[in-house]
Amino acid sequence: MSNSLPHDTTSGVLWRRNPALVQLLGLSPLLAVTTSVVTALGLGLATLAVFTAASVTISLLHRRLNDALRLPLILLVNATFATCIGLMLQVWSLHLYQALGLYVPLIAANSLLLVHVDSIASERPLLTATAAGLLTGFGYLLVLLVFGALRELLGTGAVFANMEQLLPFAASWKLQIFTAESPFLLVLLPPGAFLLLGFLVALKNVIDRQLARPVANETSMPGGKRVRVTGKI
Amino acid sequence: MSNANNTLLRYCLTLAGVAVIAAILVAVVHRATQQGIADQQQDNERQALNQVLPATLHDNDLLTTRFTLGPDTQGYEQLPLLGLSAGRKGYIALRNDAVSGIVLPLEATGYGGPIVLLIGIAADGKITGVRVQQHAETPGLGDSIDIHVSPWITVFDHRNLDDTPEPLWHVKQDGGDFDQFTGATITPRAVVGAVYNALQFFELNKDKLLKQPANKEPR
Repeated sequence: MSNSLPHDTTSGVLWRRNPALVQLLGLSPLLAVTTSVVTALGLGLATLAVFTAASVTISLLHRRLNDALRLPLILLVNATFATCIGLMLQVWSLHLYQALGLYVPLIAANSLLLVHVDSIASERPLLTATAAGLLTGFGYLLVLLVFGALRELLGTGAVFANMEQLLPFAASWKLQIFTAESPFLLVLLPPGAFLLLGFLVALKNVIDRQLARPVANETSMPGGKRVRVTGKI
Repeated sequence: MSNANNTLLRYCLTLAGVAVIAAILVAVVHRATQQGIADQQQDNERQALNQVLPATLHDNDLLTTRFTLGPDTQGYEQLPLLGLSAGRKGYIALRNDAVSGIVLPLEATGYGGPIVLLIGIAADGKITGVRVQQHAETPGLGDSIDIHVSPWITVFDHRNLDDTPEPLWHVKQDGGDFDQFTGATITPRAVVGAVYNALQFFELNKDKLLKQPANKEPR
């Protein structure tokens, strides 16, 4: 499996193989709870913590892993850490835990986590596995945050509302950017989240193409003719 | 044959070992967080109560005068008026050992499912506050019943059945006294109806509710 991950660099994990935007994994919580920055950050941090802890554990267990034990062990480890993080989150902020609802225990079954832990953590030494777990979780957290901020901004005209639920000192962080007579509701509802995801993926592709252009210019001519793309040239 | 059995045994032992460690870890974290979670829940409960019943109205700890109300609770008139689908807590406010008010749980049927509410009523029948505790109304339309979104829910404060007679306990669209929201009538209609029903329930059960402090719940 590791040969599907040739360049395990920071930019590779955060951008080129961004878990949510490129691999399109772990979308259900992404679309469901990112209606504000505070819920996105809460779920992102919880996922990040479970990711890292599970990566470390599976990396430590890797000598005992085999095809028969892999899935049950990984699920067991994920569920354990998801439960623990859920309990700790309740002490930290019961309000936030209630707002995230089912999606905290569901971290255990996050498809991104399963794929990541299975492909990376189970075949690498401890340090690399830890770093990879942190990075993948962080890449996921970033997308959650962008989603939360965009949806909160477009849907309510403000960002960082209710931040004190996560950070007790952040009670006055709310920034009212604009006030609209009728807020842009669609972005707060699941269909709007899908549309937004489409736009973000498209935006990323445009940026990638822009970055790749200098190379492309040398081989393509303006008003170029049809080029044979199959078979031998 | 014995080789295959050995492998199987080893798998089982590995899995069992990890499961035991996982169980211990969860147990330890559960023990360590138990108290904190209970404290948080009490804090939340107190905060919610404080919003529907001002602290000046009572001198007791409301959490010590809880009682349970559920769909099957016996001994009340017209209990279905509260619309409860599960057992919830009510609270009795005491001042100088006399009942000064009461907090009742109630449920309304909104657009997105049940709306879970708390209502505080002073002994003279005036509403001291209504708050939504849980709802699944459309964000941006129906969620204005939530105090975090809009102050609409405070329109009920200080009202009673005398200053607002029955024909006015409706949203304006139905000829009543209460604003609906742009694009959402079902939600406020449900809440107004539920609050009116709760007041009726209070009126019907006044005698019982106002001398309840005897059945204190041990903390």
